[in-house]
Amino acid sequence: MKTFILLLAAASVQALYADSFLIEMEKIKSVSILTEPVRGKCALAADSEGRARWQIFSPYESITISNERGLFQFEKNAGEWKTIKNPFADKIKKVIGDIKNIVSGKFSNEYEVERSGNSATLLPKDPAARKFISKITVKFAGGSDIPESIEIEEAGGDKTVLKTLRAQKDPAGLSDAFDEKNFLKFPPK
Amino acid sequence: MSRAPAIVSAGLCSCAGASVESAWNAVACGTDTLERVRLFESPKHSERFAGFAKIAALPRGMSRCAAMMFSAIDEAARGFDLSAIKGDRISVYVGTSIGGIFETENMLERNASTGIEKLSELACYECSTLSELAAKRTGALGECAAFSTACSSSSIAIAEACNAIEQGRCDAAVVCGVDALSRITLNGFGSLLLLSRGKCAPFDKNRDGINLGEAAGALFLCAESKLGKAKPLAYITGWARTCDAHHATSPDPDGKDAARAIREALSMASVPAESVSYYNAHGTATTGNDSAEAAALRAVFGQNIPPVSSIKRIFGHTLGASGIVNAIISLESERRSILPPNAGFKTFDESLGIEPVTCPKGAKIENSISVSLGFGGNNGAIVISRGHAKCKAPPRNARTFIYGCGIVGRGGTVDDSHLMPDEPPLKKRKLAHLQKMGAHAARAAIKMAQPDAEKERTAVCWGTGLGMTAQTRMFVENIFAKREAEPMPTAFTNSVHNAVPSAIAIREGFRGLNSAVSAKEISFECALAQAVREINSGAADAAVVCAGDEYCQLAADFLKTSKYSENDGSKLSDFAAAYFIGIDGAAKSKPIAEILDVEICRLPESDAVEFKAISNMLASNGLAASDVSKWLSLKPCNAYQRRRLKSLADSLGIERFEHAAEKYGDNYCASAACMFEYAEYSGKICLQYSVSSTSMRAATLFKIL
Repeated sequence: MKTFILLLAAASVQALYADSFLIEMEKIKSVSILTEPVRGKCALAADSEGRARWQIFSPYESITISNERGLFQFEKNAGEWKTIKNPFADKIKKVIGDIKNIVSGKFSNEYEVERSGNSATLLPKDPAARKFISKITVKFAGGSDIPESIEIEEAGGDKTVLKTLRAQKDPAGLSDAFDEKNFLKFPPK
Repeated sequence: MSRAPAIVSAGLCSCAGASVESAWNAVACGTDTLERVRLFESPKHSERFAGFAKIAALPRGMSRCAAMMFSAIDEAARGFDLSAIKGDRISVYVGTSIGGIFETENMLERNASTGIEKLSELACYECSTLSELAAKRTGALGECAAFSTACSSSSIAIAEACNAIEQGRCDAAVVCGVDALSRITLNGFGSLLLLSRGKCAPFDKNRDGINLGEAAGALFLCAESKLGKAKPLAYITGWARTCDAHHATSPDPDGKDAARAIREALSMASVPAESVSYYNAHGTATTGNDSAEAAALRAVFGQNIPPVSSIKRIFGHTLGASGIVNAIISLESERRSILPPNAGFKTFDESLGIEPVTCPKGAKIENSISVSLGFGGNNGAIVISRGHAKCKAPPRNARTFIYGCGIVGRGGTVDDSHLMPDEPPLKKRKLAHLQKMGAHAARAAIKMAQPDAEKERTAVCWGTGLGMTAQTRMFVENIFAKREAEPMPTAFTNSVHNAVPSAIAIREGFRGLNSAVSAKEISFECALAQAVREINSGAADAAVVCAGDEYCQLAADFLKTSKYSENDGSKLSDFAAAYFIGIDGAAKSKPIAEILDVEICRLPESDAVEFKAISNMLASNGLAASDVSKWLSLKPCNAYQRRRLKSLADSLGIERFEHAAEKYGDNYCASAACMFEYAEYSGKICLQYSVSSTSMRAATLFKIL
């Protein structure tokens, strides 16, 4: 379900990036049961064909790839990568499809969008989606179309902030990112 | 220094998911996994939160415990191929507080409401059912036993496996810890006012109690010489077990014996206190536990307490599984170099002085220590190291003697009024029947022995097939009859298997290992083997070894469903026997026997195989069958087995074969009466051979003095 939520966030980013891209981010998750936030590193890659890769580097390691063949998830366990069967694969696949819609300018079909200065706030219209996410806020550095941060506020009160560390448009070798048979070939390290 | 047992693989099934990875992710990300109580109707506690294991499959007839345990074992088996090690060199040690009680509760509830006596679920009741299932699942043919010491059960089991490996009793061990949520634990902890009203907050100033959880963990341990090409994940470099001998449920507020367990484990690992990178706390979030544990931490580490966290807010208190869950998370934290956070903590408690880890932090973790504290003041500490593989646990090969013995029950039931005549009535009435029998037998053995060993180096090892069946049934039936309205806290406290050894420890002041082991008809022998190993490890100089089972309706019902009932008509009986054993000089009295060897393994029912096994055992002790003056078998009692064992004794050339079950009645622990059968064999070698209904064999060699 975390992947689901974060791919929704990806959708909001993708709306601003019609082209292929790779964003490396710091993930700061504030959860109610910990007094300090959990910090980790992650990366999102997507292309204009609707393919996407979500990779978490810490505090654990996992890779989710969505491509024309389906959804594929991998986790590192005991130093070795293994395939995970995700019961939510269909839902996540749908979200990946939504990315394509958003790229095509259908952004408002899924969210109410409020733009204010350098930020955009997305409010899920679907009551089912609102059970998980109450609001997504995308902030930009002044004059840039690169999101500086994405804040995802969950209905339960937890909050995830994704801060952009590095962003690349049309990075070299991006197509490797979506190859589930060779999923470790793609950087970033 | 010797090479420490290696951890070669791990598996975990918990409320966070059915893998170590999912458990780690939940810990590292602070995932809120606790839910409102479900699984069964609970009029009084439906608003409480608990952790429910994510069990992939629960086949009909399988207990929740078994399903969770298989999930954990299967995950561990994917990480290490046990088939590379000979089956008879693999032992199984399972830690569980209540075993398959959840299914027994379902049975009792259904039978009470329908009036129809259907007993099929009782097949899950025994704790040793789980160790038997674990052995079958893994192909292990070595020693196989379940340790049930409440919340420290799996820490006790891990330490036992380490002792067995270090002393060459096995090459590898499958260690599991498992407990499922049940009405008895929910209502029991409720009756003791220990359940949190919300979600637990370990070490927090406003903590108000525990959330229960259910889980199963599995660790495969291996002697380094048998690793082959396998790469160890880490080593268990230190382990220690102590007892507060303070109270049936509350820890000693000073935490001095918990501190002693920590110190002894660190000493074995040669890890100075300042080199501990992480302390994985028992941290249940009760006022008493966290306070006692904080006192122990201050006593060991002074002002330099290492990073501390409790993971109970993530998994709930998984009782008998909590020790192995802690060990696995400690292992993962070392492998990933991340200190796990103490979820649920918000407000510093000045009275504790513990400021736990509040978010996952990167750190090089070379030595961690996991601690478990259980009912009866039962303490276990395990040191896991990635930085080194050495430990100070060389077997000392000390000779072990029996100095005193006591017995209660020689067929039929035992009248409580004859037991513990010196005990003040107000204290005596708080004890259950089996506690009185065990404590009475132990007192007789102690009185005869006149112990001279230090009390903190004296263990109490109790063997029982069925445990506190009468108290368990009473507590559960009361839940249904009164719809949870009038709980019976004393019955709950007395329902745990280790209620007997903890009562003995409290009365006698023995503060070494305090254990309860269950292994069907060889429960006594497993307790004896454990005590001998503890003495041989140097952790104890003496031990009270006792065993017993009681007659009650639940036990009688159980017999109707088990292989055990295939007897020739002997009556179920109350029975307990106890021995005071120790190294030379452990008691003032003259020893009555020397324990030469105890060997336990699973053998097919084959005269040839058993002949060879017994011959080998005798040979390894420099003896031949002709040196044995008496062969004794107290179990089993069915006529076929009796004839078979007589035939085996004949083929070995041992003329004096005796089957003595008739004298002591039909009881899982009747084999503990052995020493009362050897009185006339002064200077002779006697062999006791016990056979269980699950093909376990225990051979014990005594030299009568």
